[in-house]
Amino acid sequence: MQKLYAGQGRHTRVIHNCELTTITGLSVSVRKIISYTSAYRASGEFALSRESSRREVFPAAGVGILARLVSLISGGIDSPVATYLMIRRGVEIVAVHMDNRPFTDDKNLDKALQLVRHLQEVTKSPIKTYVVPHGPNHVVFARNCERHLHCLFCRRMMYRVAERIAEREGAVGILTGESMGQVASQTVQNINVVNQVAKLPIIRPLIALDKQEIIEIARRIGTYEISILPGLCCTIVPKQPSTAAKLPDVLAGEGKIDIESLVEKSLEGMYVLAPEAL
Amino acid sequence: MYSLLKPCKTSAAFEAIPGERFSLDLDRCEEILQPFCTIVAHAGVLLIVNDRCEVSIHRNGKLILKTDSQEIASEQAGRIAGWLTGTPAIQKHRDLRIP
Repeated sequence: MQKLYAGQGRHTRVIHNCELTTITGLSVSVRKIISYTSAYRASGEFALSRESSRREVFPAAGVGILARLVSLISGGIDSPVATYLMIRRGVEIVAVHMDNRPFTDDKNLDKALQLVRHLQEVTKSPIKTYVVPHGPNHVVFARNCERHLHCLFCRRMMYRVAERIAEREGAVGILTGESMGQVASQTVQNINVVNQVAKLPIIRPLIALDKQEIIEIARRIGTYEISILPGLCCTIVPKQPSTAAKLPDVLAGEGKIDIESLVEKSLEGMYVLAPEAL
Repeated sequence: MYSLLKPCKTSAAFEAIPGERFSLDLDRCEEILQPFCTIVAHAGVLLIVNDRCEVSIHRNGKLILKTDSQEIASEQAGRIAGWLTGTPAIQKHRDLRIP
């Protein structure tokens, strides 16, 4: 049986050039068509896909957009999947890549941009991309703050920057690929500590999925092959990162440094790539 | 000084592992390496320099050599070992136990 991915909106399209037929006024039982095709129900219209391998149906970009979100895109597996899922739900994306060089390498930035380009192609949705220097922030955290809390300082800084970009772009939330318990900064306790820094809602579509489920989606949408290309992992991650940080400890650490100045410097150093530039 | 050179977990770089246990004083490393390399960043726990390729130098002596070429990685590890060997930047572990 084929999997069915349905959304909401008035228009439909199917990715990867599969054949699409729009039939107005046709009443179709989704349960019946699920076995041989994909369907997308919206205002009496159904789009039937006859393509054999790709069965997913999208709401059209630019039509029926629900909201604009800033998506934190790394070069990894999760964030492109989260972004894809939200675009499919009719969300317009502004991508933000926090550039961890020199604690990673050039390949991570290349991968992140490749992933955004791929998402643009797959979803036919233009994605403006911000690249923000984050390496200098790591130096400040590592030199001044508690080592085991480093990843929390890092993520809170990402959210601060993302929120400022969201203000600039008129976005109403921040989208991340976080999945419960996957790494130290993604435990419930640490997510709580990270959340405290943001006023905008943090959207985490992958929170309850396990890695294998995320990988399956990534393979299906073609981002997996890009995400697993060689790329140096962050080299400044502490050996024993905290998995249950307490907010007062994190605030005390941040109290030792001029956070606002770091945010400003990050924003001054960032650059923007138009969708067509990718 | 380095007994093992291996691709790192993601195959994006090489790791040079010291043959014996020692600690590096990264402040001293920075002073010693400055005439030979570009200092990219000194984060206290990690020193990043650029010579034939970019290298992350950890306090435990481990090097991450950011290159696809094993030949360049090996040569770069050797150069760094040559510059640091016999300097006060290297603190052997048994020395650290002396009060």
